Amino acid sequence: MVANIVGRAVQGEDFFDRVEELQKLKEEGLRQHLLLLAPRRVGKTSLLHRLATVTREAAGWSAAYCSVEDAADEVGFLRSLTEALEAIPAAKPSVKKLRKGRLDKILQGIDRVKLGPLEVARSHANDDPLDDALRQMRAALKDLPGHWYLLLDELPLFVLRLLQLDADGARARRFLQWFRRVRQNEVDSVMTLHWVLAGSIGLDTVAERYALTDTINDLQIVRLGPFTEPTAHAFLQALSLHHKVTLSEDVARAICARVGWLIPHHLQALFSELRAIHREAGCTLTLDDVGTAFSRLLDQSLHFDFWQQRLDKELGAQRARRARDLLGYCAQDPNGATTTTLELLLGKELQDTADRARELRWLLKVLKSDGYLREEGERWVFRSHLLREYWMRKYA
Amino acid sequence: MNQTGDLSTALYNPDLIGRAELIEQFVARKSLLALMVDDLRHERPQHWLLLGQRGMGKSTMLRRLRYAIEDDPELSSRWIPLSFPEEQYNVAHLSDFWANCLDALSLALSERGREEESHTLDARAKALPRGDEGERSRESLSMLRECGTTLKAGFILLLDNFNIVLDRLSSQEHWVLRKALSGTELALVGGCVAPPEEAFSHDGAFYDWFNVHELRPLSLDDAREVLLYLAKVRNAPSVEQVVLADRGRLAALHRLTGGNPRALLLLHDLLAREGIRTIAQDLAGLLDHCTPLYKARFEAFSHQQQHVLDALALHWAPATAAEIAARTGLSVQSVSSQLDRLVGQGVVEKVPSESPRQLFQVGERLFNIWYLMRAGPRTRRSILWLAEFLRSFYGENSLRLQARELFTLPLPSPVEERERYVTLIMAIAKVVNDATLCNALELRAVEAIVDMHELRAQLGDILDLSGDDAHLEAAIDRLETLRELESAVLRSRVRLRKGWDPKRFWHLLGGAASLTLAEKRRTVEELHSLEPRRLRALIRTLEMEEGKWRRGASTARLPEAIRRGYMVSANDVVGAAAIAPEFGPGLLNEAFLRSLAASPRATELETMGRFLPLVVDAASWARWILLTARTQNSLESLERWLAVAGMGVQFWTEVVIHFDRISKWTTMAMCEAVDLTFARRCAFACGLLCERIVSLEAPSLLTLRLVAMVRQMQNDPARSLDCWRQVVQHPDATATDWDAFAQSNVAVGRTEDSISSWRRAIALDPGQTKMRISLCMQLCLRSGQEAINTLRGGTQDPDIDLFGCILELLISPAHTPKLIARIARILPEATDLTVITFSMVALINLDLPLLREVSAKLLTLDGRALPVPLVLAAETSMGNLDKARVILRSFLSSIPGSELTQPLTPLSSKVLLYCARHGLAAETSETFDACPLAERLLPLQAALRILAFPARFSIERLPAELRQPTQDLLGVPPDNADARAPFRIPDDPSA
Repeated sequence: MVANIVGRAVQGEDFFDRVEELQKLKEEGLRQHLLLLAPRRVGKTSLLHRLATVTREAAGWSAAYCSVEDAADEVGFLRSLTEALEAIPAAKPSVKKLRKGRLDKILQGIDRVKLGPLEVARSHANDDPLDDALRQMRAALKDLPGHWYLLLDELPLFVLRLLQLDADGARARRFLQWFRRVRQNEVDSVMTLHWVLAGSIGLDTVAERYALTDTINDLQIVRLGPFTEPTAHAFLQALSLHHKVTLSEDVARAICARVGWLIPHHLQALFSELRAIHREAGCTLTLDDVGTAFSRLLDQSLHFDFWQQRLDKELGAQRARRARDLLGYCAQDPNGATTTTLELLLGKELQDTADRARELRWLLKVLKSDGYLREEGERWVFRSHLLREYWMRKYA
Repeated sequence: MNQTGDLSTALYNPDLIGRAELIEQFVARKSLLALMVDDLRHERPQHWLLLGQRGMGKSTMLRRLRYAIEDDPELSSRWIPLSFPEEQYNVAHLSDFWANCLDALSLALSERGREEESHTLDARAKALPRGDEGERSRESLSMLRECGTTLKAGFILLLDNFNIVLDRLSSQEHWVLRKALSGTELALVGGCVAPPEEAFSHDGAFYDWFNVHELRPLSLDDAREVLLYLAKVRNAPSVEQVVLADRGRLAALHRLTGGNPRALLLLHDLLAREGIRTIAQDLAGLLDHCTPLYKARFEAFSHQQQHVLDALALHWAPATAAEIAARTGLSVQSVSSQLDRLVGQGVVEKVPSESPRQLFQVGERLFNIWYLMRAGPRTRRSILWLAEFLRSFYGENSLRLQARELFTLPLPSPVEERERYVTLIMAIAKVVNDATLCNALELRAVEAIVDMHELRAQLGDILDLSGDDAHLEAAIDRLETLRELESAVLRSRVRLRKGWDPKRFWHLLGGAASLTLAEKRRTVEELHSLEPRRLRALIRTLEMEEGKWRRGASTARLPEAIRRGYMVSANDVVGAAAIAPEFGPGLLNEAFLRSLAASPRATELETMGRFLPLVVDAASWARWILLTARTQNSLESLERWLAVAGMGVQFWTEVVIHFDRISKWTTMAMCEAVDLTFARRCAFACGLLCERIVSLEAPSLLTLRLVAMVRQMQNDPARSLDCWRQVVQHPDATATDWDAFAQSNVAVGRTEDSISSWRRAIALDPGQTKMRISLCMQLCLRSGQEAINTLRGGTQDPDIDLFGCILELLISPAHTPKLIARIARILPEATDLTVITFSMVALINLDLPLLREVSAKLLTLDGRALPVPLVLAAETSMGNLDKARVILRSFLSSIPGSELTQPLTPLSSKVLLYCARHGLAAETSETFDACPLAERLLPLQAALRILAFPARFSIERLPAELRQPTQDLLGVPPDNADARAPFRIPDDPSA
């Protein structure tokens, strides 16, 4: 039984399938630390929660999920991690030790570390309190009994925040290096702590942009994609069973066809609209209802405007216009457009071949990394059918 | 809602409405509520974001959800709903938000009677650390969670204007909030006018994180339910009646509100107030209540959106992006982009159009009216927005009725009231779909303005004389001139010592229909210099004229209408129509007849036609139709006027009779009139009148008969049959009606139905010879013997007997001598023209003797009703050859050779051959040769030539293809002596 939940990460019975992905994480995670990559709303957090659940079921294994989305600085990071470990009984002795040390004072604000330009160490003049706290945390982690999966969510967000606090990136580098040492320590000895890092923004992109790649080069990248069509069908059937909404094969097929990019979030969102229609009309859902639900979803999704507004904000007027042209062209065909065609499109404005190729490469990279397009062989396709449909209606 | 409650309370503060009342009045959006309640039963309910324009019911929905949770034992044991003030302006940091949550929890505990816990919580909340925001925030959240653990419940945060909270928090705090909400102990249901950026920005903490539901405008059915509910609880039966009886008006009201529940509530109140007189003030008052709402809505848009929206709202009617661009000075691309966004936000809607260019308008028309109300010149602006409101608020009929009532009211005296009155009637005039009423209202408005100098001074503010109201300038001039002249007369000094009554003089002069305005002016100017004798003579003349009008029942008020400036002259149809509601239809009838008598041109007739629906004189209608049929190519406008005229069946019947009397079109139709176009137009006009008659309820039997006959005349057998069917279904239908019905059945080839109809006719009146014969003729088609049996079962009527003999003659040629003898014996007693005609036709067709006797009998009867060929045959057989020659020439020349597809009936051919054989051979052939028909009937031409000039013409000399058909026509050789031998009555074998 799977409930219709839009937005929130799902757990327990509401988590559906991802058997292979889970197996891969478990297997790969035994040998190396992992970086789970996927665009937003694909289901990374739900998968991490699931990994935690199944890990805990195995004897001698523990798992802690920690989201550092709210961490404003290193102290916040340490606090989040401490609290996450505290919630797991097996970690209690280690955390207890940690609480007795300087880290707890820092967390309590007694031994406050003012970070940023007004950094003042109230005591321990010869000792950097943060270093000390980090050292303690590293030690505590080392002390954790048995095997652990440590699932760290939204790490890139935290790194970006450090980068905002310190423009030259030294602070972020220091943190990432510390974190690398934590992980390296494990690899060098017998590996008992298995880190899986994830985030809404790709850590690899952030590291690359700020020349920090060397601090994460030990991570094995694992990518999470959408459901396959049979899985999406089964998912929809499970939803319909739970909510007592009769869903014929045709309707399920139509939903998949409409959604295109079969990530759970999109399926859930469309199903939510269908549920509302079902409740209003009180009869069996039809193919027309799928169309209506899809339109409603697009109509209500005023936030799609953001996707086009963001182009101006991030690319500047001239490049945003070029990007819009490319997207408009890709939107016209569900199978997208080839690189050659897109290059020709830019040819109207950029006569120099080399300039044109360079500009196209750059734009496509941005559009790919920002979640607009994905590369499928020689073609560039909209990542989301919803977004493509929206683009078609508005701009194509 | 409280029945006596202040409207603004209901409009803006649903929190002040009682719990039971809110639950009861929650009519629409029930399915959404059920969906949300369902979700809350889940272990980890999702977070909801309700989007919707102000007034769409977000606050009400949040409150209703709270009650649904509290009233549900399962949910209330798991969740404590926390309600917040609509706007949390006190939030500067996340800790403030958590503090508000603690405050809301304290209130919830207090409402549950847990005062002590509430106080303790308040005290703890006060003691929260200050200074360090992070710490304070964590402590507050921790305290909230702790309370949840103690109470063994989670919290549902019902947050109206959630975007205000988000706007006041930093991006970092958004993530902290998100993390807090990721647990199972907190669920959030937020309401927002527009989606907060954090929820749609790809980098935002709440990107795709909520289950978003847009509170769309209420559907028509939902709006209906809401209005019915309000009508019930506020005891407004008039509203209930509108909603239940007039779906069109309901749809218009729905459009006006754009499906906004709050606007619906507002309109309900207006509907309940009834009466149009104070509608402007009522609406203005209610829209004032909306000002905070609408103002906030408008100010929420970006500057460019405001610019576009302003232009669109002032335009009122749907406009293209290009039109708005032209008005704003922005580029079409910018305008299109902004319009798209406004459409997305539900403020602007796309209007379906046949044009390839997309049209846009402000979605909620009431908002648009509010905008108009606040912009533009004062009175003219009022007229504009009021007009647009009236168009949607009142149904067409209702508006017309109320307008007529307004027209008959005396003009209000206080300036403000008069101004409101003018505004209202001018607004109605702008939207009422009735040219006459529009004229009337405008004239009334002009009078109201001219009569009061305070309003006259601001004429330019009220009317747009250089634009939309330019056509009123003549009326204003006329009325003003009349007022000036009246004033001059009242002030004048004349050379008449006795009997001078200036008021009376103005009464006479001002009301004189025979004088133009210029002549009246000249008279007034010369008044002081007129000699007493001439002045007396003038007064006498004017008195005579007034007397003349006064004596006529329909013209008694004509002088008054002229004097007040409503009519220019006695035949001013436009003016008379405008004042018909007040002065009655008499003046219009008179003006109409006078104008018709003056041989109006086609365009004038068309103009007059606009006022035809108000004319209640059948003769005027008939005359207008006749003139239009004569002068115009089409009478389509008649159809339009008939549709709007409100007269009854009796009136239309009179028009048909009158029209037939003056047009004689039925005669023309019977005689195959030469002016076929005119006859057709007449038939068309009569057909339309008949349509009108039968469309009305319960036309009388007489009327139905009339309509049926008209259709028969129109050569429209199918519709004639329909009409006769209605006639015979009438309980008072007679044998004659059944006879006509039977004949109609014959005309459409329904033999069986005609037989049963004639049987019914004979059953009603067994003595009807003609019907019996008609029945037999039909029976003959089925079985001759059956027909004869029917006749034998009849009376000993000589006519029936004769018909029976003829019938037998047709069926059994072997009995001819015996039957001929019998016919000769019965013939003197026979009286029925049909039977005798039938006998004659049979004898001609069979080429049998006895024709002379039958002819003699036939000519004693009413020969005028006989077909011309038979008269010709009768006169010939009687030996009246001179007379026969005249008829022959007249007959052949009256047949237009080219127009008719069937130039000559077989009977006519036989008659011509008979004439040729009985003394008119040369004349028949020569006359026929001169007739254009001859070219189309070569065998007959040949046969007649052979009979007339056997020496020159013979079968053998004819072209091969003509020989056989000519021989067939001649039948027996022309030299057969028997055919021309005088007939002698044989002995009756039975005697």
